Amino acid sequence: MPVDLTLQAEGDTFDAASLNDSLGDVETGLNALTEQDIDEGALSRQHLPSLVIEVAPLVEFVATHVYTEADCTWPGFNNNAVAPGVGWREINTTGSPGGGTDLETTFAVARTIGSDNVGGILVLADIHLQTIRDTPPVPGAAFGVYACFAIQIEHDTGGGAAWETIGKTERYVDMRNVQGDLSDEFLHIDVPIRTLIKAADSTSPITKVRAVTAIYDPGAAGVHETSLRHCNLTALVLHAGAP
Amino acid sequence: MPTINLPGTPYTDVLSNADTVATDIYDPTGDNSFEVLNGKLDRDNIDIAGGERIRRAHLQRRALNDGRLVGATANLDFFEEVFDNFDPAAIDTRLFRPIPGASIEFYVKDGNQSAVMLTWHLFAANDATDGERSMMLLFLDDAATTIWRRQVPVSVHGGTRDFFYDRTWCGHRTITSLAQGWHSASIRVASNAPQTRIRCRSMAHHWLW
Repeated sequence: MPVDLTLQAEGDTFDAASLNDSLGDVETGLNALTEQDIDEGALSRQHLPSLVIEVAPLVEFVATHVYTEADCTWPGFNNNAVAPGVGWREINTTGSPGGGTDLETTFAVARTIGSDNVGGILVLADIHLQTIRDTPPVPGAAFGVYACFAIQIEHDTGGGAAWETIGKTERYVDMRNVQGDLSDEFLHIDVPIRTLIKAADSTSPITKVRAVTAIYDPGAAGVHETSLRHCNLTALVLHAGAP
Repeated sequence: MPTINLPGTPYTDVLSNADTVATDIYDPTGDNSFEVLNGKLDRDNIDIAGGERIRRAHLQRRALNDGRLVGATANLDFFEEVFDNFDPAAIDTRLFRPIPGASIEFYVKDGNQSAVMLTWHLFAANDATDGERSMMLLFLDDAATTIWRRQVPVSVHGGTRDFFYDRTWCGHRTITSLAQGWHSASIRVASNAPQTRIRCRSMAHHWLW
C-alpha cells in the first residue's frame, strides 16, 4: 500500500507513541506494496526469482539405435500405449530391446503446472533420424511408412504415475521414395520438437519427461525399421504467476 | 529479501535512546530498516496475499531473458579447395569453416544464468560421389564439440542432382553454466566433395535468468 505518513505538526507531542505511529505506517506500507506502487520497468533480475525454476538434467546420446515395426507400431494419434507391440517405445541407447539409457529426464520434485509458480514446462528435443528401411530391402514396396516421434510426460492423475502422450508434439517423417529405391537409403533428417507443456496438458504432478518413437505402416510389404543416432532432450520448468 | 521488521519498535524509552530510532531509519548492515529503500525492495514487499501481482510492464526489458537470431538467405557455396584435403574418415577440426548466418556471438550478462539455449536450422546439399562427404560440426567458443555432428550424404542420384536428397538440419543445445562475457557458437562445415551448398535459416541464442 502507499506510504501515507501523517506528519508531526509544531506543538504535537513527540514521544514513543507518536514515533510508533509514524514509523509503523512506513513499515506497514513498505511491506505491502501494490501494483501501482511499482513503476514501469522498475524491476530487474536482482528483484525477482529466476524465470527458470528447474533445469532438469540434460540428456544426450550419440550412438546409433534401431527400432523395429514389430516392437513399436504407432498406436494412433494421442494414444498412450507403450511398446512392445502396438505402442510408443522410449528412445533409448539400445533401441527396440529397451533397457538402455532413455531419452528421459526426471525433475528434482514433482512439478504441478499452476501450483508453486510453475507456469509451464518448456521441452526441446532433437532426434537425428538416419534411415527408415525395409528388411530385407524391397525397392519400391514400402510406400507410406512413417517414423513417428512424440513427447510424453509421466504424471499422476490419481491412479499412480503413468506416461501420457502430448498429442501436439507428435511428428511424422515419411519414408522417401528416391527414384524408386526405398531400401536402406540414408535419410539423415533432424526431427526437432519444441513445445510448452501447459495446464491444458496436465494439472497433475509431473515427475518425468521423455521422447518416444514408433513406426506407422499402412500395410507395406516387408518389415520396417528406423535407425536413430544423435538425440538430446531439454526440459525447463518455467516460473509464472505470483512471484 | 526484506520484509521489514523494525527492531526498535514499539518504542517505550525513545527519548533516552536515539540510537534505536536511528537504526530503524537507517541500518545498511541489515534488511530491517528503511534503508531498504535504496534498491533493496523486492517481491517480499509486495502484497501477494492481498492479490497484488507483478506485471510484465514492471519488468525491465531483457531483465529475465534475452536472445538474438541471425541468418542468411543466399546460397553459400563451399568448394573443396578451401578445406585442404579434408578427410571425413579422419576429422581435423581445424579445417572446418564457419558458416555465415550459422554463427553468432552473444554476451552473457551474468554467470549465474539459469540456461542458455542455442538453436539452429540450415539446409545443406552437395555433389559428392562415393567416398566424398560434407560434414558439419557445432563449435562453442571456437572449440569443436562432439555433441552435434552431421554428415551430409551424397545429394545426387544416378549422376544428377535429386532434390529428394536435399535436407534441412537443425538442433539445439542447452548450457547451464557460462561465464560472464562474450561467447560464440557456430555451425562449421568441411568437405571433400567438389561443392557443398548451404542455405542458413537461423542460428539463435536465448538465455533465461
